[in-house]
Amino acid sequence: MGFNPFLVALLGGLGVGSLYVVFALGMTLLIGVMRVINFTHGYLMLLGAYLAYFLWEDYGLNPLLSLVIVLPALFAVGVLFHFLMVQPVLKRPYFEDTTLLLTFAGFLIMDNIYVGLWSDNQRQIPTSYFNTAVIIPSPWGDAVLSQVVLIGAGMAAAATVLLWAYLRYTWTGRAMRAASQDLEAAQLLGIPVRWLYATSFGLSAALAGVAGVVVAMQFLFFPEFGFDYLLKAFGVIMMGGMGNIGGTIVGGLVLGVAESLTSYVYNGAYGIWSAGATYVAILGALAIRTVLRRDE
Amino acid sequence: MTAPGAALPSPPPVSGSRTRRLWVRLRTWNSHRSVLLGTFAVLAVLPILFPDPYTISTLLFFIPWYIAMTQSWNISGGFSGQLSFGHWGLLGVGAYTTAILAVTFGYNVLIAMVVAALVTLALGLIIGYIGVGLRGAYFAIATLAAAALMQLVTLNWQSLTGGTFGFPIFFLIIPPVDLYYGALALAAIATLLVYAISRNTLGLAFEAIRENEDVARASGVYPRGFKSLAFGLSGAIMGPVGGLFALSAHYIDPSSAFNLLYNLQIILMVVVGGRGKVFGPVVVAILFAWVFEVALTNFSLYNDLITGVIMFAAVLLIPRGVFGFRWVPSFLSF
Repeated sequence: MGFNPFLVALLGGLGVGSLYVVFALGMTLLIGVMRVINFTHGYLMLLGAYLAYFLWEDYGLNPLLSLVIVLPALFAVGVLFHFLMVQPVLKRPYFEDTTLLLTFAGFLIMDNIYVGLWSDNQRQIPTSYFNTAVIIPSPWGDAVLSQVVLIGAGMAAAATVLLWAYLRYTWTGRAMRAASQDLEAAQLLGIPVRWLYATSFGLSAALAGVAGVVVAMQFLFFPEFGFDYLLKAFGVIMMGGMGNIGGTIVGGLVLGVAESLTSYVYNGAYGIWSAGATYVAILGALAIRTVLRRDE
Repeated sequence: MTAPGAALPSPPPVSGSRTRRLWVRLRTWNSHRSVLLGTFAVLAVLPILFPDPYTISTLLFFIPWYIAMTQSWNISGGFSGQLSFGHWGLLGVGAYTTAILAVTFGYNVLIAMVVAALVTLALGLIIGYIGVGLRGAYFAIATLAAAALMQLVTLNWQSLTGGTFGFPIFFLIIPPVDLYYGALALAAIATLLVYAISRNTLGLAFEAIRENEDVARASGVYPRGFKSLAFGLSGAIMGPVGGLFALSAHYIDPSSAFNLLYNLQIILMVVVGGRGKVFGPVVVAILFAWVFEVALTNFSLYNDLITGVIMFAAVLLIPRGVFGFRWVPSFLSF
């Protein structure tokens, strides 16, 4: 029996969607706990990707093993970003707007530094998994997937489960959920908000690092990638609801499938419409929200 | 701190003879108007002082151009608190509308720019209406997506816009001086609009929504209409701004007309000049137009970096803008 191209597109979409999930989870965490929208998230992901790439290129380290270095490094960068961009303005009246402007400035600075350091060249870690196909038989025709997509999806699933367990079973995770529900009550109960926020930012950056390693194995990446992925994360978050982890998982998978099916339907004949799925997701989710709101 | 619109008492009720009314007008003439008029008078004589067409097209033109853009962002971002990251999309739409109407369909340039203003006004009203329930950062994301969608449509609508090949406007030659005065007129209109808003109940309504939407709604100021209006007015200015960009650039493509950096630059100017102020953004736009167009052309590789660093420092160190300090005289800090 031959291949079923629709099924291939669907499974590919789920594979990319799992990457979006793990990438957007970091952003959701920051929004939920601190109400900070981090524009540098895409470039934090690229930092992970570049780190994994150079570890592979200079030291021959397997990208899966390089997670041991990438995760702590990204966590440290996240904590640093907290003390640069969130801590100084924590008491300001327009906290959300101010952090938005600060992270946006950080976004520009990081973009320029990346282009200056590593140029616009497209890079990828060519692993042996990339060229190995996995054939999944089904009654409607076979589906084929690259092994690297399966590995990426597995990493994303593992990261998601670990994050859930962290939030569910550890003291810090409980504190994070408390802070996201009622900040003042959490403070009154003795939760040190400064360190909690620093940990959240670090955790968020580490999740971006996981996504970065997956990206480095699957795609040709270059600095502009950070902005594209930022928009995709916004799409996921808008669909799933702000700071809602379950919604983010569903939203990420939906967005991945939507993009994949858009390019399957148009097949490149009418230009590059697959990126439009993200924008339509954002604006559509908003339009629905606006229509449903009756209180104004 | 009182709101800028409420800082001065409103003029007494106008009645009586024509001379009496004129006298009231003159008596209530304030230093703010003199400062604004003086600034624009200086800008109006600049091309007489520096008549070289090259100077006008590479430096002077951008001064009123940035003022108009800054005031446009100031209406939505400064007064009604809608942090817009979508103005770059409106700029691109304005540029393409003007170029297509003027070149493909052969309309007069002024008519084309008015139509561009109407198009971006409609887009602004729609975006403002859809995004009304969103506060702060979420509105920023929505506008960013809307602008990216506009860019994508422009890129893929090849029969009309030329797609990635761009859109040449070489045959439409307009003297730089005319472009300069066009931009100056637009800047004056935009500044007048911002001034009128700041001295009106409309400005108070915008500020009420910015400060606390729930309280505003409870007091009968409904955010839906006012936010749409603020973003629509702001968008209407961006159409001609884009048109002037297209005419001065002679050639536009989806990556030059849709440039996120312009959006960041105008946010930077409003933040440094003071959000919801009238005069601060004008002064800062005059200074930064020079910085962006002259000082940075030699370091164009690091344009983003320098812009980002200035913005970072400004947001951290001077959240109320350069004229927000207590010792700044009141005829400047409005």
